[in-house]
Amino acid sequence: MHFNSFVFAVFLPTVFALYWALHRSLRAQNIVILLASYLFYAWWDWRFLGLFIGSAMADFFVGVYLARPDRPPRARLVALVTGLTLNLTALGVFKYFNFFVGSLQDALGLVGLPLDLGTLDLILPLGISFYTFQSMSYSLDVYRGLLKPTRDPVAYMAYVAFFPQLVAGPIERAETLLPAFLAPRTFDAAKARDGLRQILWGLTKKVVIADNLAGPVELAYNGDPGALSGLGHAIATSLFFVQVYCDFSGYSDIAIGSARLFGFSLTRNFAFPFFSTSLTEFWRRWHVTLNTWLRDYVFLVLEMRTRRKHMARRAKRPPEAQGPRTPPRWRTALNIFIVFLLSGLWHGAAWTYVLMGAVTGVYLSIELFLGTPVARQIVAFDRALPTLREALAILRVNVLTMLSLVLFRAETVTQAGLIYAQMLTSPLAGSSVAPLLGACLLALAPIVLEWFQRRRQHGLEIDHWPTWARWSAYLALCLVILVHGNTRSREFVYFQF
Amino acid sequence: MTDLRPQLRLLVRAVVFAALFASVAEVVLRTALPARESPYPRQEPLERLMTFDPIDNARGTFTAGRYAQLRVPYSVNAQGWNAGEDYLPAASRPEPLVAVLGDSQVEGFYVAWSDHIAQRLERASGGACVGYAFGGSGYRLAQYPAVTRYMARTGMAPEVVVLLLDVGDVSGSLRTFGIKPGVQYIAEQTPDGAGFVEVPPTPYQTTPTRRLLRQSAIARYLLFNAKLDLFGQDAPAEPALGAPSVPPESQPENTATLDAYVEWSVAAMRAALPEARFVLLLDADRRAIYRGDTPVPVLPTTPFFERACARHPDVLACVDLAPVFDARYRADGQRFDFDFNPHWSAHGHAVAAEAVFDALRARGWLTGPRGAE
Repeated sequence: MHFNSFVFAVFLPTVFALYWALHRSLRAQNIVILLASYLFYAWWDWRFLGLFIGSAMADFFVGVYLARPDRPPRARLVALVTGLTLNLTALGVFKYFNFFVGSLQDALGLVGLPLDLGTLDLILPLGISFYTFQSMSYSLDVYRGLLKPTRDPVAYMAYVAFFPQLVAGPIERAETLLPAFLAPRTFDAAKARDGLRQILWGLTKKVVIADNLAGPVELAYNGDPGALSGLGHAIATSLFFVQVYCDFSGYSDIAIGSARLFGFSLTRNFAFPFFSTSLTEFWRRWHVTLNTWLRDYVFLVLEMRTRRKHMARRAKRPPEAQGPRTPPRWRTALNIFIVFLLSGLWHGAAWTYVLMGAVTGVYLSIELFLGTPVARQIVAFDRALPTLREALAILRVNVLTMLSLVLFRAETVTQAGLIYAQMLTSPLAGSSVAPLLGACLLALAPIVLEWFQRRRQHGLEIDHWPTWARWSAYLALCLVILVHGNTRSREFVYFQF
Repeated sequence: MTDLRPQLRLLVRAVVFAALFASVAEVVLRTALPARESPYPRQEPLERLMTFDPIDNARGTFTAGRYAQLRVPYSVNAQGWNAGEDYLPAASRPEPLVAVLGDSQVEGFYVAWSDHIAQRLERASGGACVGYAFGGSGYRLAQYPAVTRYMARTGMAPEVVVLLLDVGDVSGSLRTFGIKPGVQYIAEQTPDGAGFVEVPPTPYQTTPTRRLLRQSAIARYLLFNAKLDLFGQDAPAEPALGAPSVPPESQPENTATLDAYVEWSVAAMRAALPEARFVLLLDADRRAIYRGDTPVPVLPTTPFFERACARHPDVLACVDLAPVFDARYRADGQRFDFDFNPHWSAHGHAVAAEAVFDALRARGWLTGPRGAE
């Protein structure tokens, strides 16, 4: 079931009414969420429900096993590794098997060892990357002692399956979301109203902006790379940048808004990334929940290991030759690089994604070496406009990100290479960019609007406006959706991940 | 006990907002962006042809496109066809009749009646003939024997019948290829394989719900202008099974059956209108023409009709629009349809009419000047 479907427009209020009608029983509410979530998922393909439930149950039982405090450390580690292995095996088979086998075959073919290992004819289960990471966070948090394991399978399964964020995030952490399934929920009318506003804004971004930009982007990327000028490719990729942002942040907005109707607070997934003044800040504002997941469960683990090794080596040296207490900067840069390589691979089983991750890793490592300041607060927080320096920094961040997105959008590395070559060698030679200019205006609209809302949580957080103005804004957006909303393209881009 | 009033208040607010939005949208979609208006379909009681109700909703403005880019007034005549005039039987008019039969192209909502191929033919002949259109959305070859019977019964007695034919007209008419009976005729091969029989349409009546739904500009806009599939499923996990990748017309094992069916259809039409001559007007792959494909690909149905014309050269003529459209597009670069809709524009109707008129004059089936336009 898609958020931008008529079915969901019926589904959401129905579940809302049923859920709050059963407000006296926490368990009954969790059962409603669980069944609604399974229905939501099965609408796509019921056959993968088993895989999804199995993956979640594996982590539940790991949690139950780890609940006993007298388990020896080694047995605890074995239980954790077993759970993670089950999850990662499912992910690996369905998402990465063909990629790795194909790459191995290609590599062997290059050195004159042709080998046919065969491939699996599998469909990628919807949302597998999202729910696997969310489910794994439970066993990891329990293992690390951050969370008391639950013995309530309904609450746990409802946490993993929670339909607003089931198929495309935000990737929630057990530590933050699971407790909400174990305690009675209260209805906060103000938050619910703002949730509806957030749903409306997300829907606008998805069906009006993202889906209408998809056409011009496809025209550029599905054609001969040499037919369009380098400038045309730059514009088309910029349009794709806005498309993927509006698509994914639109999904996140609808997810967060829907969850608020049920008394849950999901983590903010996009924090106006276009207004970042450094690439490091950009990646802290873009797909926040994936990046913090990778930071906490991968980067920090790597960093701790690096530090332990560094300290151990340092301790072996005589005091005068021990050097600084912190490991060299290049080690941190390497860890960043590894994390973004994994991030690229998480996005898809293709070399384009891996390269995109690598490029991002290099970007951030360079910023680390240069000591580029990372703003904690959104740019021009207390001003109407950024300074010239800030504006140039924003431009730099967005241009560099746009360039790396060529890899994200291209079907193959070769296609990406041809587009880069066209950008470098023929910036103006090629077909006219005029057909893309109308789409540029459309792409600018949400950015301009979000600039004015950048101090807030989402683009339509207008609870401080007078009632007539708020209702006028809602009416205007609904009319825009009715008239300009694209009814053809329904899939969210991130469903493929 | 938890108070449920806040939740109810939110639901009530949402309902109030929905009502307000519906009111505003109704106004917008009746004024600034008029939603499509169209007549009520009805079924002829005798031949069971799908035509239109000539009384209720018989006039209006047909719009197409998300932004109602196309706005054409329509008018249903007394006989139930979308035309700017009532059709007179042969006994009441002195001029011979050229009747154009076809699907939604000929139904003609996308152009004004004066731009319709039937009217263009009438003008091209310098008034030597009258042109009437008998078209309906979804009409295929299986429908045309019934239309010719209708013309015979109503005394239209056309001199020439022009059939506009497209991809799917042949195999899309036959139950053999999985076509199920509906509100249009289909044909079925006899068990011995020697002939064909008509499968008549299922009865149709516009339900009160449908009539009510058509009163809503929002519903009409969503269904017809935005083409929103309200109850459509999400994208399937895998491609639909059973969808033929190759049209049956392109598969050699079907050639004999399809040839026999075309022959049977021609015989059925000639039996209904023994005095008439028939022009098979074959639409073209216009996308290939716009792409500049050389040569323009032949539609899979074309060889079947061309063989039929070769078998009956005295009464059957084929006019393939592929070379006509291709030459014209190369000359002036003007499309024959709309960029938001594949139906012929006025230009498409005009070029097709010229081609038909030239073919008729070349065969001596119609005399008079061309170029009263």
